Amino acid sequence: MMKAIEVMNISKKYNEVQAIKDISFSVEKGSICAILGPNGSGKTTTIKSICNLIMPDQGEIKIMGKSNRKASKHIAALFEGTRNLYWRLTPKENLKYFAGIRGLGGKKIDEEIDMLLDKFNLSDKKNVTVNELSRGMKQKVAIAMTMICNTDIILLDEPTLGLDVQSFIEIKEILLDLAKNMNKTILLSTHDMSLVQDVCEKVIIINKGHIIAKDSMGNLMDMFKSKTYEVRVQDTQAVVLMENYSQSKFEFFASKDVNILEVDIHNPEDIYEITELFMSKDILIEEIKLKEVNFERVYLDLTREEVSA
Amino acid sequence: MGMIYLIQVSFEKSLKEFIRYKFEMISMIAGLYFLFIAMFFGAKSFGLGIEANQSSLDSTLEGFVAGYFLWTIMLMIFFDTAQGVIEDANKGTLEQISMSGLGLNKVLIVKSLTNLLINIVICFVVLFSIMATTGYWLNMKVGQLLFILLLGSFSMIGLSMIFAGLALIFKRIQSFLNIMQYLLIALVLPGSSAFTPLVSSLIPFRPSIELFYDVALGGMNIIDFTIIQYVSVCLNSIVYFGIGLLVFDLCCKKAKRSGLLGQY
Repeated sequence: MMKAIEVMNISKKYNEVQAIKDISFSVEKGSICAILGPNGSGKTTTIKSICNLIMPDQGEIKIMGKSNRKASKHIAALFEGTRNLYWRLTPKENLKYFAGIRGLGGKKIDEEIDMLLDKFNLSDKKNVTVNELSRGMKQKVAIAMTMICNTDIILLDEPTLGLDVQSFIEIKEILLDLAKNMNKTILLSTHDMSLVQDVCEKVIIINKGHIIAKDSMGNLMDMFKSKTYEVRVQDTQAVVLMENYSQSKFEFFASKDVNILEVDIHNPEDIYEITELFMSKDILIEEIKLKEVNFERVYLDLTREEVSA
Repeated sequence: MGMIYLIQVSFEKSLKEFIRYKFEMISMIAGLYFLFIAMFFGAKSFGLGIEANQSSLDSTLEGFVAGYFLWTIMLMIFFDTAQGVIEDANKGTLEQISMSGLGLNKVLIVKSLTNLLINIVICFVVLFSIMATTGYWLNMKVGQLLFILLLGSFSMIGLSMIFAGLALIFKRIQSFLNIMQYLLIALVLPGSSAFTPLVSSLIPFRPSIELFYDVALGGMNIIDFTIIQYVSVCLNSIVYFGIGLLVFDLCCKKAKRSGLLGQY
């Protein structure tokens, strides 16, 4: 599969602060990839380097096989923390202007803008100035702005920030449609792990300026899936007892549910030992099951491991 | 095709933003008008107070009207581009413009030119208001004056691009931009002996200013000027515009290397 984005060993230092170091990854055309990390981890520097808004000190970035310095027409981006739009213009006027600065135009552009506004349920707001729109609507206009540019690659920094549930679902569907049906490549940066889990095929996790994990969503989930079991017991006192029990090779953790203990095991046969242990303590087990792992847990575990290392 | 559409949408954007900032628009026009009126009547009463020769006082005040008009145009070209870059950086739209396939400098130049058209209309409104108030009427060959102004305006755009570029790197350039408005006054002084033809040709926008005065105050027509005068205007425009583009480009690269683009 063709690589839409190739980041090769990029590093960037601001004065004495190493923002990113030796970052390398690639994103396949037509896929959705997430770039995640705590605040200040180097995500924005990486994204802006891809957009050629920041020049890395070392390394190379290729967009659709060409140097990113000559390929800005292939990328549209939405940055978090800025307006991205002209607030005294209407959504329609904004989209027209951003299409214009991209060198687009012609008779069809008005139709495309109307279609896009319709897709985002903004048709009835197309002639209202952006400063009069709600935060969620502004965010939708900004995302629509990246789409009117009709680029192969769309970089979105916190695209679901400020969106209500309905709009969140709409955006999720639009992102999937863009990748699957229109073969667009999307690089997402977000703190919304449910969005990542629902739409991304690949995940890159950055912490303290370097990559700590880079794999497909499936592999990352599997990596953690095999570890954690949930043991439901009848007596809540038993949860407290086992959580503090230290004479076993297993370590039990209380979960949010007061009747459930969590335990990480590496061999499924360990379950026999666990049941024997509970029997010896006269604790009645109601259920043992593999914990359904969500991506938030994977992300937290990965970044926590990195901190403790 | 793309460039024509860019010009069209840039003009629409400038016009609509201008109209929607009604308070700013009215206060700007009123501010320019009252500033002139205050200075004009101050200068007139001072001239009468010292019993200056009436005809020389009239010609000085006429020159004052023309000079003020030129100063407002220069001010608007200069601030629109330099200030516009700072505002776009604040809004986060500068990063969007930087990613345009057409290039940041092309988009900014088109924006400056479309803003210039609107600003020229405002300056003419202010000019006619002050001429009506003071009774000093210039030779208003609007088409000819516009031709001269547009020909020379690229030198001012170039100058403002230099400051726009510097604004990307040195974020606290705002106070210096404010000082520039006073320095620009020096450029519009009519008939100053300091401006020999050689000096004039080296100062940004000055060759156009000379031709403007010849038409507006001297009653000349654009066909009366020599080829050398036009060459001087054009070269002045091209050189300053080129320097502006070069400096802006260098500053952009420096801002990208330092991660300063769009950070305000």
